[in-house]
Amino acid sequence: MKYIDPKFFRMKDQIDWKAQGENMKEIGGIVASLLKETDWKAYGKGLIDDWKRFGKRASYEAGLLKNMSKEEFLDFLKNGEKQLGKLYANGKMATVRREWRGIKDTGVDFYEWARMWGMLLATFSKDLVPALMGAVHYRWMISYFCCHSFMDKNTQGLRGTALRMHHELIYAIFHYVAENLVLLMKADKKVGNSVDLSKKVVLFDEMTMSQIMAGFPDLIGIPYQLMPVFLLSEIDQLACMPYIDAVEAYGLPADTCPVPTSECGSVVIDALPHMGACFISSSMPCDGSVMASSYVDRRFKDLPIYHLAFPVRYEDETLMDAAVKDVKGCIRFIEEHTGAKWNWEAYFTAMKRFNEETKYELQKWEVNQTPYPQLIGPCYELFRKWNYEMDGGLDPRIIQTFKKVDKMMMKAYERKEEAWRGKMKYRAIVWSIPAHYYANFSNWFANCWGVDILVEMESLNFTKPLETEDPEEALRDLSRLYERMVMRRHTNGGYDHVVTELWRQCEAWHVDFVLMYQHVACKNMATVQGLFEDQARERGIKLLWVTHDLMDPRTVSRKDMRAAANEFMRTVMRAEPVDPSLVDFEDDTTW
Amino acid sequence: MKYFGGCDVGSTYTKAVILDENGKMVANTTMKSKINAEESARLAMAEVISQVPGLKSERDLAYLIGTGYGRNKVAFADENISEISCHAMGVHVTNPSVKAIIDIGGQDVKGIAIDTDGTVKNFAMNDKCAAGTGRFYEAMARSFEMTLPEFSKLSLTAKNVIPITAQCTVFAESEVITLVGEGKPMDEIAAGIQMAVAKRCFVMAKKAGATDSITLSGGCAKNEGLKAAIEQVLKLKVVELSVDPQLMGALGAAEFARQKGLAKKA
Repeated sequence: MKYIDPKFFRMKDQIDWKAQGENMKEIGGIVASLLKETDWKAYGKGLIDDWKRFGKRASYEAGLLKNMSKEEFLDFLKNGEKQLGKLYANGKMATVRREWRGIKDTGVDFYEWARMWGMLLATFSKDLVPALMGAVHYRWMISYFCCHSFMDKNTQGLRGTALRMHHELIYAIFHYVAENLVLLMKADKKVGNSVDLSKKVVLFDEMTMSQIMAGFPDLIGIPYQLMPVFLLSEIDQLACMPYIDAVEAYGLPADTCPVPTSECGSVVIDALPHMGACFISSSMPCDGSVMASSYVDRRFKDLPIYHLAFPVRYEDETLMDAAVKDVKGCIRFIEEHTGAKWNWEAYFTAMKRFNEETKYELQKWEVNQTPYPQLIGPCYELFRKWNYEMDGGLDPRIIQTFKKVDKMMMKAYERKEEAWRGKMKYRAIVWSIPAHYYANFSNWFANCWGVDILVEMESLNFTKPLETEDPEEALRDLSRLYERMVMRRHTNGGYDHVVTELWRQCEAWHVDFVLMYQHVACKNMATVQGLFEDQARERGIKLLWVTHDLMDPRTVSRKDMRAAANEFMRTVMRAEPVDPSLVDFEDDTTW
Repeated sequence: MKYFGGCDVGSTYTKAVILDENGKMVANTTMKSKINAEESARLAMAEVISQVPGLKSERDLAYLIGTGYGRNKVAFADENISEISCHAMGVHVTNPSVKAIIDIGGQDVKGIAIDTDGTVKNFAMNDKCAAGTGRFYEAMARSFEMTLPEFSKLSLTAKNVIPITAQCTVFAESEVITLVGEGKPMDEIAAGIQMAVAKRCFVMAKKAGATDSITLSGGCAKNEGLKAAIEQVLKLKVVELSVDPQLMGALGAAEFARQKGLAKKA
């Protein structure tokens, strides 16, 4: 059967045109007052200034080309530009132009850019009207218009095989996102209002293993907060602020973790689509997340909720009986509210695929542990977590992506290619709560200082093959997987999995230092910070502490994060930047 | 004879040092920073240059390094180096046996572990708030209606320590005013303030991996009450430096300039 089942896209919409008309009238009023309030003279002057700046930049860059020696020019044609700081301009939010990567790689990049556009147009045209209405209904939908910018910033500086592999991975993620956005807008009562589709949708929060939906091939599982909150914050660094402000104005203390804060805020300002047959909430890693589930519960009274909430202990076999009982209860709950029947054959087929995908993943780690790591950088980091947490082997197209990337990776490895051409100076791994909301930090680190992030803590959580024959054991494996979903290690991992495990990983990946992300609002990791420091010193391992506050860059700005890395590289590593133009720039130059 | 300069443009004070080829300090100055960092640097350099016969302007220096928060504004410097590296080097050339520094500047507190060659082994810093910095002390002295030197000695006579719970400069100031209003002994309140800052410094030192042979640098290193409190918290004697601890950043910058200048010449 084709995935996603085409009939989902064909289900009838029941758009309330009167309500849409009223919404359009309101939007029209806002647009009219914006047009009225705009200082057109200043706007015109701004446009002229922009053109002047463009002229200056063009002549400056032409001058640089003119002053190149023949060898430098040939290298520029072949390998592209090296001073990537030129791509930024104050106040522009996006790069001033696309990166020149050399003739061949610029061609590849342009092809991928066009391919992404083609995919987006084809996917949204499956049911364009609700998606367009959603774009004027939800402000977060607008941020998805910059997915190409997201692609560019996460592939910045890449060349050759690494560039092609990253494009494959990000394409797979965005294909998933586009399809789910169409379905979300189609099923949402406020937009497409497809009652038939809504009955087929099971919503779950992002800490629930999506693999459970493999047993329901006639349904579609959608991680509820992924598109309006989490992925959104990676694409648009400023997108979650209205959520955070809304819920703090509502009375939530400002030092709460921005993840549940944003989630709750999205409920407060009604940014979550209203849809679905039922919702599976989870015993998320901390109290803050439990609070978020209660907000959803209070907002959507008509949405039946199952709390899949057995005690999470990261690795505790004594919990298995209770956990299996809970998973069975969850399956029964979905059956009752959708009329669908759990299908073991479909589940086992998907999990066989997922196990194969995990084998490919382990192969990547094996390569990355050698002196010639191949697949490193933000697209890979995001893909790993997306595959493990959201895709979960359900989509048969993804195994093809794995195979294709693996083939490219192995060839590149045999040729001993450099994943970041000319920028392979230091090996590092990421530990603690990753700042995915500044996903391209690792990309910046490689381009600016030649630091290659080989793997990060969250990617390492679970690699055990899932049972594909015995139903009872399969449920136990699902429970084990649930125990080791993302964010579980630092919240429920305990001393051995959090502290001691780091030293094992340092040895396995042959690191020069560890990038320790210090999330200011997370108290869990703060409890072991001193232990990390003492033990790292005893072992002679260097730790770079980078403070962040996830999707709230007002607490710790991206510039501050880069400044901490700059200071560490200069003083402790005694390094010189490989691209000095990237050492210092303002946050408002990038999206 | 060739001369080498270091200019440390700090948030509250600007310091400059000139070394000769043998590493001997031949001139130094410490002056209040202006709002314009570049102007501060120019004035400080003009002052040290006037102290060395034969030097007319910074162009006569063989090499000049800028450091401190305003280092990027030392336009006439040959190079800029982070103040963390400069403090480490400054302390190392003053006393090579020192293994760690607690640097308390006008606006931040740093713990720095030094390697055997004077380079930085590790560091930790608090640069997000004014708690425990020179600015904090200025606010506290203002609350006591005293000068900074008077305030720094006040705690030394205290028989008890009244704990100050607030770390934030704003809240600590209001807590102090409340305690003064309640008629609590001024020296005991001051001892509480020094102890609160000393604990904060201890955290930084611990984070950076400081164990023994620790010294203080930065303007607050001259605060006798703080030094005593830090010794009490760390349970060890802080190493005394033979050179003004406030000059360590500029001295380190000048030493880097000397090394780089001589290497360039070679």
